[in-house]
Amino acid sequence: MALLEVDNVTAGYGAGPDILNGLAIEIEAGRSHCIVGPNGAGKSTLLKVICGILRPRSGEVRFEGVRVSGLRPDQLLAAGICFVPQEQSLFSEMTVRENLMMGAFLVRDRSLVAERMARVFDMFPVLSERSQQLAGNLSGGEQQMVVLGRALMVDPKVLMIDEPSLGLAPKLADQIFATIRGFAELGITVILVEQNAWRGLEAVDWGIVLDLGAKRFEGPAEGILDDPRIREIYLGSQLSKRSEG
Amino acid sequence: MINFLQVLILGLLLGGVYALMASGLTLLFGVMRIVNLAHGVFIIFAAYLAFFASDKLGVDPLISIAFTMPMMFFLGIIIYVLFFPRIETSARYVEMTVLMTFGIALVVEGLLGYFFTGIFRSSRPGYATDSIIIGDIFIPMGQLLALTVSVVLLVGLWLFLRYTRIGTAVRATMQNRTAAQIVGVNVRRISAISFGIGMALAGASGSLMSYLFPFFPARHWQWVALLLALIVLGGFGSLKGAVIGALSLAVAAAFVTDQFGPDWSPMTFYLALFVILMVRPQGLFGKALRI
Repeated sequence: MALLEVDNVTAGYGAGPDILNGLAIEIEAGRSHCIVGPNGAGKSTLLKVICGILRPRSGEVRFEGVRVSGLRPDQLLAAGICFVPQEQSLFSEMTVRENLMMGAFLVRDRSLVAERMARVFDMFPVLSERSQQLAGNLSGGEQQMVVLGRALMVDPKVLMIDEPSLGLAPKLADQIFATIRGFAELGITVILVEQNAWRGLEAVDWGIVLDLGAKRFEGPAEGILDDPRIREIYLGSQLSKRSEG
Repeated sequence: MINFLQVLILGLLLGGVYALMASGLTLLFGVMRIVNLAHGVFIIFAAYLAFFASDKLGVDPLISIAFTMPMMFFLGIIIYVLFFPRIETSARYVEMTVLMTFGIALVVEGLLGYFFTGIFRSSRPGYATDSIIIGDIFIPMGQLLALTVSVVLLVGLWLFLRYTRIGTAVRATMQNRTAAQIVGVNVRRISAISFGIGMALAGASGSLMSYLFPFFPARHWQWVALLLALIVLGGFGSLKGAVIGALSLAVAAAFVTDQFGPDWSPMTFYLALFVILMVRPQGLFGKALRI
């Protein structure tokens, strides 16, 4: 049984059209995944459905065999599913340390919190230097580290990250992708969404290709970009965009 | 010089009470983006509770805080749960809260007028007419006590937000609602509690109002306009801004009263409102509004 199953899910925003159209994917425990596809394929929407911010219109999400779609985000987090959204998600008027502490908001065992904090500072030494600074005053790359460090404080079973390299210089982006590989080594099941498919797939084991709200195909991350169907999907969306414009 | 000091002290005494009144309003906006036009009418409602407790049962207005705060807290939670989750997903959420609270204000005003009539009311505890005289400076006792209560409650609110688990969750929700959600804060529960706290602060404000400022149901429009003006000055959603906005505008109004007479005092607030909207629309401590 897969750790996380998205079963025939249809979803969209407000009264808008369906963004996901009967999407079905399976996420294996301990594997890291990258979801790729052109703009509007439904990548971010999928993550929002899994973490409970958006409810599916039909179909369901199962985690460890139990239906979880319909639960609130805080309940899903308690179950072990953590989401790092694309938009700025820092508490900018709190210090770096307070931000990290917020990651362990549901953990009441102080020694466990201290242990996780040490692990975060071990992984991001720069955050320990900046621990008393306001998070809003850090550079873009450091802010992204705080967000990822905070996710590590949650110690989730599944970590979903939406566009972590957005707006970062290539060197910083490299560092972030290296961190994501590090998460996988800690045994966290990673689901990454990345606009830059090539860079995203480099950081993970398994690639899943979406288009128009449905899965087109999947396979080992290495080599998936050589698949001729990729060309068709990306080129297809480019062409349709051009004809619309 | 003596006169300057006297006017400054009177302004600060009033400003402290305004800060308490405004704190609930700014908290609701900070946590939930609710522009609560009914804040004034709830202060007046609590003032009626305190007034009748004093009039019929002889309860001191300051003691009445012990029941106006919890009663308003629970009323706040009920109102939040009944009305607000429904509009949460609306694309025009902030505008919807304005209309919704405007409607609530009209209904409560109508009920208050029906049950309690439109007569001016005011409690008269002994200290309302007492004063302390230090040298040539005159300090009204009732206002000094009200300021003390306001400071105690505002410091209490600050300690609560700073050092408790729920307070931390409230601050997190104020700073970034999505982020609070993804670290496991139940934002709907925190919103309900915050609404309750905002209403409890309105409750305490009402107890103070019952002997400081004569009131009748329709008076609340004047109050909510004044409170909105000083919150706009301080920055919507900022507690520090509410306190500083309240103190500075109350002092400014005291000087206007001293120079030009009390009729001109309310104009201070609206003039400040226009100027701040032109010069620095996000207020002194507010961030540019993101929706």
